[in-house]
Formats: sequence, C-alpha cells, structure tokens
Amino acid sequence: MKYRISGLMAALALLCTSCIDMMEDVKDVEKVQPVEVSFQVNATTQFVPFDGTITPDPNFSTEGLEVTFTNSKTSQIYKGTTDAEGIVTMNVDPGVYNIAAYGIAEFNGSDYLINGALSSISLIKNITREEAKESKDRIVTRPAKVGSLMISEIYYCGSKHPDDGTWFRDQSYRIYNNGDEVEYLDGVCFAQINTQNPSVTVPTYPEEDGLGNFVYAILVWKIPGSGTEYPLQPGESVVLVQEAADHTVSNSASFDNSKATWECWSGNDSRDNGLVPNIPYIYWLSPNKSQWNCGVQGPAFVLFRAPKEVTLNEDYYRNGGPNVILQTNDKYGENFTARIPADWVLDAVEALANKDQLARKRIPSYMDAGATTTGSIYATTALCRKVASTRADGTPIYQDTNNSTNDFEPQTELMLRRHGEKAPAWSNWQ
Amino acid sequence: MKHIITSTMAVLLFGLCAMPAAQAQNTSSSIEKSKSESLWTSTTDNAAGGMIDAQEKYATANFGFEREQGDFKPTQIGDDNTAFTFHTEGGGIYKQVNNMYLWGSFTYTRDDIEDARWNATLLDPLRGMPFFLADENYSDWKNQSYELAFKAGFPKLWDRLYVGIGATYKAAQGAKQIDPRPLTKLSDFSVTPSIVVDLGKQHHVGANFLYRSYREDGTASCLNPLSHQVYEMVAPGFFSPGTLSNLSNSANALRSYNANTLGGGLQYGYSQDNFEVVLSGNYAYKVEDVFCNYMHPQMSGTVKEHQWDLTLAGNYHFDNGNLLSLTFKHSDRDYVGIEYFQTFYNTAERQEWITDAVYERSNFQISDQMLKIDYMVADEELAYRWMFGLEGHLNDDYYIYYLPESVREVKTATLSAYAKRNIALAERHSLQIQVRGGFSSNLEGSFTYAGTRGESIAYTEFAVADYEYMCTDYTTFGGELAYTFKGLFKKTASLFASASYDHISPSGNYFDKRNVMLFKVGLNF
Repeated sequence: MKYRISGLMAALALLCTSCIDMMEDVKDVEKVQPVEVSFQVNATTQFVPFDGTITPDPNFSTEGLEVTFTNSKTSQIYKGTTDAEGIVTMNVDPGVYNIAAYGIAEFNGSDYLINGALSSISLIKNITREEAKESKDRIVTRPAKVGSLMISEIYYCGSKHPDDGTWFRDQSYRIYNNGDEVEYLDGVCFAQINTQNPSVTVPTYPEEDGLGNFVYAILVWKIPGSGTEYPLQPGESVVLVQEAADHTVSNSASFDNSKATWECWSGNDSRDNGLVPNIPYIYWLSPNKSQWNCGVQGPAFVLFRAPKEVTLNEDYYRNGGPNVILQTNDKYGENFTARIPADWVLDAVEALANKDQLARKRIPSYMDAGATTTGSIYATTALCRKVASTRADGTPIYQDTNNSTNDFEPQTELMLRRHGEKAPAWSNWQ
Repeated sequence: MKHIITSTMAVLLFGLCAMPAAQAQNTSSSIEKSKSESLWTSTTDNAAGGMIDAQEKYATANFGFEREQGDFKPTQIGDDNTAFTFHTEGGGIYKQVNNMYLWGSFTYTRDDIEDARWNATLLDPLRGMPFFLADENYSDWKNQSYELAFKAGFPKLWDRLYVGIGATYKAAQGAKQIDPRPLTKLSDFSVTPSIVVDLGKQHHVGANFLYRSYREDGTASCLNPLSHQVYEMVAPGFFSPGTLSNLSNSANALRSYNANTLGGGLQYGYSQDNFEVVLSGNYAYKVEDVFCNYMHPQMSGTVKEHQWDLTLAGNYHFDNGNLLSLTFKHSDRDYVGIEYFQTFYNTAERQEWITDAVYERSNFQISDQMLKIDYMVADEELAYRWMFGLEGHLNDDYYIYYLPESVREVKTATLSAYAKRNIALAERHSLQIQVRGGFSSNLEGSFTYAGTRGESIAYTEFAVADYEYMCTDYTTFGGELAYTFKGLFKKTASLFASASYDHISPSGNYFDKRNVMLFKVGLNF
C-alpha cells in the first residue's frame, strides 16, 4: 500500500511537472506580425562545393528576375523583382516558404533560362540586405540553355478499375522535339531519380560531390543507335512505356498504348510485346524482372545525353564503380545510385504526391524549379506540358520554363500522343 | 494509474448506490426539486459545499435512447444520430459514514453517428480544437464512452472548516467507418479539492482547485489504396490539403492531443430561513499540444485557453412552499491557436523537426450571458404541481485569423420557456406533462475571409456552411411526457418512463429542420 501511495504521488508530481512545462513553453508566444525580408539570387557556371560558396558568373546577370515566395502552409503568394545586386526585398507573413526565381538571359546568341528555387525556407524574422548577402539561404542558379528535346508527358499514377483493383502496367512517357531542328535520340537516356517515391527523408550524397552538381538515378534506360538512326523532327515524339498493350482489355478505365515506340522491358517474356522494340537499361540496382513500376505517387525523371567521349554503358554504371554512389542518409546502407553530371541533363521533371510536398524534391531547382502532381494515386491522369503556341503544321510548341509547377497540367483522357504531336517516320506505328 | 482510478471510483459508486434508500419518497420531480434547492452542488464545483446544502439522499438509474435527425446542425455533426445511454447517480448526507456528503455518478453512452463530415480525428469535433484532420466524405462514426464522477465532503473541522474533493474520469473511443478511418481513444481525468469556511451567521466562503488531464489520440488509416483528399485544419478556412491511402500518405495521419488544465474557483454563500444565494467564480487555464508524428515528433499546433465564469444563483422559498430560483451566469472562453514553423533536420545520425518560430495565429473568443428564472408551485405529494421557467442567452462568438486577416463574428440571442405539470393519476401513479418552446435570433453576423483557399470545398462547404448555421434564426418547440409509479420497495422508490420530442425549425432556405427524440426508463430510490 505504501508503495502504491508513493507511486501515485510520483505520478501526480510527474503530471504537475509536465503540466507546468507545457504552460511555460507557450507563456511568451507572440501574436504574428509581417516580416521584411531580403533574399539573394546568384547565377554560377562553376562546380558548387558542399559548403555552398560560389563564384557568380559575370556573364549572367541576376537583375530583373521574378522571385515568387509561396507560403507552404497557406499557399499565399508574394512576388518581387531582383535589383542590380540580385536581391529582392518584400514584406511577407512569417512562415516556411518555397521561393522560386525565374528569368531569361542571352549569352553568345543563345537564350538561357535563369531558374532556381529553394523549398522550406523559414522566413520568420526581418532579414536585411546585408544579412541576405551573407546568408547561405540563397538561390544559386545554373543558366540552362533552352533545349529542344524534352519530356512532354508523363503518366505514372495508374488507373482504378471501375469494379475493383488498380492498374499500373500502362505507365507511359513521351519525349518530344520542341525545337526548330532535327534531334537524334541515339544514346539519349531516360532515368528515374532516387528516391522512387517522394520521401520526407530527402536523400543526401557524399560531400565531395558538392551541391547540385549531379543528379542520382535508380534506373537508367538508354535508347540504342549509332548516332543518326533515330532522328526526331520538330513536332515529333516517341513514346516509352512500361508495357505496350491494349490495357482497356484488363481495365476499361485505362488506354491502348500498344503502338508505343519502345518498351522499357525488364525481362518478363510473358509480357513482352514483340511488335514494339525494347530498349535496355544500363543501370538498375535491383532489377524487377516482372515489370518496371516507377511508383504511382510521384517519380522524378531526367532526360540526358553523355558527351561523345564518354562510353555510357552498363560498365560505366557497374556496381562498385566510381559512377555508382551510395546515398549517405539511407538507413539500410544499400541505396546505390547512378551519378549523372548536371551538364549532361537535357530536361527534368519532378512529380510529387501533392503540391505541398516541395520539401521532398529530388531534382535541383535549376533543372526543375517546381514539381507537378496528379494529386492522388490511380487517378487515371497524365501530366502534359501546356501548349504555348502551335506551328504551321499543327504541332505544338510546349511551355518550358524549367518549372514543372507551371509547365505541366493534368490530362484525364489518356492517349498515346496529344495536341497534334507526330510520330517519327522510322517508327513502327504512325 | 488508469485502473486504480477506475476501480476506486467504481467501488465508491457501487457503495453509494447500494446504500440504504432515502427516507422520503424519491421521484424524478423530487430529485429535481432537491437539486434546485442545493445551490452549492448545482452551481459550483466545490464538493465541500455539499455539506452546506445537506441534500437529502437520492439515487437514480436509467436507460435512455436518443435520436436526432435533420440537417440543421454544424457540418461535423451527423445527419441521423442515435445514442443508447445508461446513467446512474446518487448522493446526499450519509449518517452511516460519519455524516459525510457523498455523491457519485456513472454514465455509459454508445453513439451511432450517421453522415458526419469534415472530421477524421476528433471524438467531439465541437470541443474547440482547431487543429485536426478533416475529410469531405460523409461518414458514420461509432463512439462509446464511460464517465465516472464522485464528490465527497467531510464533516466540519474545528467548528469552521469543511473539506471536500471531487474527481471525474472519462474513457472513450470512437471509430470512423469510411476511409480515412481513425480509431480515436480518449481519457479525461480531473480532480477538484475544495474547502468551505463557515464565517458564522449563515455566511460561507469557499474555494476549490482544479487539475485536469486530457489525452486524445487517433491515426486516420485507410483500408484501400485509393487516395483520399484530407485537410490538415488549423482554423476555419485555413488548412493544408493532402492525401491519405493505405499505400502512401502525403498528410500526417496521426493527431495526438495532450492537454493540461489548472484552475480554481471562489464562492460565497449566504442563507436565511427562506432565502439563499451563492456567488461563484471560476477560472481555468489550459494548454493543449497537438502532435502529428510519433517517430519524428512534429507539432501540429497548440491551443492556449483562458476560461472564466461568474454565477449568481439565488432561491426564495415562499411560505406556502413555492420556490423561486434565479440564476445569472456570465461565461467567457478565450483561446488562441499557436502554430509552429518547423523544418526537418535530416542527417544519417539525426532526423527531427526543429522549431524555427512559434506564433499566435488565431484567436477565438466566446462569451455567453445567461439569465434563468424558475418558479415551482409546491405539492406535498408530487414534489411540485407546476413549474415554469424562462431562460435567455446572449452569445458572442468571435474568431480572427491574424495573417491574412480573416474575421468571423456571430452574435445571437435565444429565449426559451417551459411549463411542467405533475398530475396524480391514482395513489401510486402520476404523470408529468411538459411543453416548451423558444427561438434564437441572429443579432449580428459577418465573415471576412482573406485566405487563399476560397475555392476549396473545405472552405465553402465547411467554414461557410458552419457560419450559415451559426447565423440562422430558428424556433423550437417540444414537450415531454413522463409516467411515474411510486411506492416500490420500502415505499421510497419509484419507476419512471418518459418520452420527449423537440422540433427545431430554422428560417431561410439553407437548412430544413432538426428533430430530437428521447426515451428513458429508470428507477429512483
């Protein structure tokens, strides 16, 4: 009995202590007030070390960039413009912000996108111009030449069967020539970026790789060819699919992608469509021989091409080789990835489970300053670029600001090609 | 700890109910009259005040069935709800226990709620908690709760001081029936030690202390892989959308509530032969933390609440035994919603949410003034023959979200009246008929919203719909029929059965109606 009373008294004392601690914690909390913040944007073309120190490139001015502050909780948006020092100053509601900078610069006769973003930046107190210049919280952009080859549509979320069950074998991706000249697809790679699904644990990599100098893939598909076998004319697209089939047979909510250009074939003979050529993967840590399911929540992809002097094959990305890198914050220590230099990347698309997950972005913001989303899984929704204009031949010119938040829009009608895109002449199907 | 409290209180309750019956005839009307005459126990939380009231012993137990139907309700309340209840309580001055005042109660409730909306977290979504997970699905809930309470007042010490203690314990759980479906569990414990000092010449002053611990916990899991749109609410019209499924969650499915309350009350009482008055005031300060992640504790928010009330209650006994009761009460509840700005510290060695800043971002102020007048026409046989009453409220409900500034304010006045008549049908049979009615009038209503989610249905069909409900005028009418069979056991017990019905008729086209039916059968002894 004595022990019970002592126990009871101890429990009550613990309760009182916890109670008083809770009350003390919020005793002096103040009413929210707006804060005036300054924010710096820099552009560089150099390797960015892990500590983030950069040398701004004088060829690319950051004056006049549009900077958008989006409150990650309330979605409240504030917009401003950078001054001659690349600094923007404005009053915002204190909070956690996603900040994006956007502009176009001309250099050596070519247009370059000056694009960058940071997510989950706490703007909770006034930040002076001087503090902004010293702060590590700044957008460092890499000017990106406006390219022609792009990922014009991704369909990853799958569809729900009208009666029961779900279907993801119809996952499809389209690569499009948005430019004015022919592009050759030979050797172009389509890679899925680590992690497969957006994770609250955003992956980190070795410090010697610096910041944002590479992207890291869990799977790399490579289009074959000797260099000129697969020309893609302006307005033409190719379709890569997990499995080329009339999927409406299995699921009436799905669509027929049996006339795709290539299958991303994982080795499952029973599901191989002999009428659609396969492309090989050159890196896949743990191949799934049944299928390539990129995940239905929100994958991230890059389209890239290695320089001619690099022989990009399975040996380049062999396990244990110098180009296969271990994710440093993977608790199981087994998430090896294929390292892709940033300047190899032609286009990138980040998809997330919803638009409030920007903190889970995997692709550096100068490649893709935002993210697109289907909003839910098995939503029978593809994500396609917005049409900016149309060529005389009726083919589209898509919007490409390196910001998937703005560039992509959902399409609930699934189809192989849309907006007048054409199939290349060498394709099995027209 | 939980078992010790439960078993201690259960033993006390059983003891109270099993004790010999009161000397006088106990009926529902006599118990009602006795409670009206006991101002300390009916208007204060001071258990020692039970010794001043010296209420006659009574005990009652009843089973109830309640059904509410209709769309005139807050959006989070079901369209068609049924509840089964078992309630027992008893107390008074017990000579067998050294003339102590003892009182206890036990209530079991099982609720079947149909087609509730905008709540995927809370057992009681109207309790004043702005941080929760909401979904747009019409969903059923199945809830049950056990509530125990007891009060004890000890005989006078040193011919001047009464000491008392009260405690309550509630355990409840509820399950939402459609994805996303939480299984929410709740425990609520309070203890209220108290004293009353006899100042002589019928003057008494009292004081009580309050400690309350409240825990509520549930995770909105899903059975199927389809994504469900959910909203992480922080205030009316302010939320973050997300999705939940059994495959992936973009919203944090957990909500864990931990509240502590400290408070107290002061009382003054005066009585003469035919007149008594009690003035009491209470203040309570509550802090409630809301977490949304067990593995990496992340704050959803905190509610800091100040609550106070002032009550003046008086009884006048006429020479013919009639009783006039007057009660005035002002209550005020002021709570702020505190939001945290946190970032995830993410390294291989350490992964946790770090708080960058904390701000008060919303404020809710609810005040109510109530004036109540009851007049009881005494009857020796029936406790009272007639009873009439009027009750009026002035209510002000104000809410502000500071940035972007959004303000909602609703002022209403309500007035209700009733008349009850006890009729002796035969020597041991009696009937009580009650008619009642009232109205509510909106005095002022405005909602200026400056948030970014004005197009979302979580604003239009939740925040706006509730605002419309708050602003809607309505009339209500109803009645109750209760039959009593007296003279059971040692001629002190009675059996009763009652049925009541209320109809609420709102004005305008936004809502249709609400009907409430209640059936009870029980025993008083």
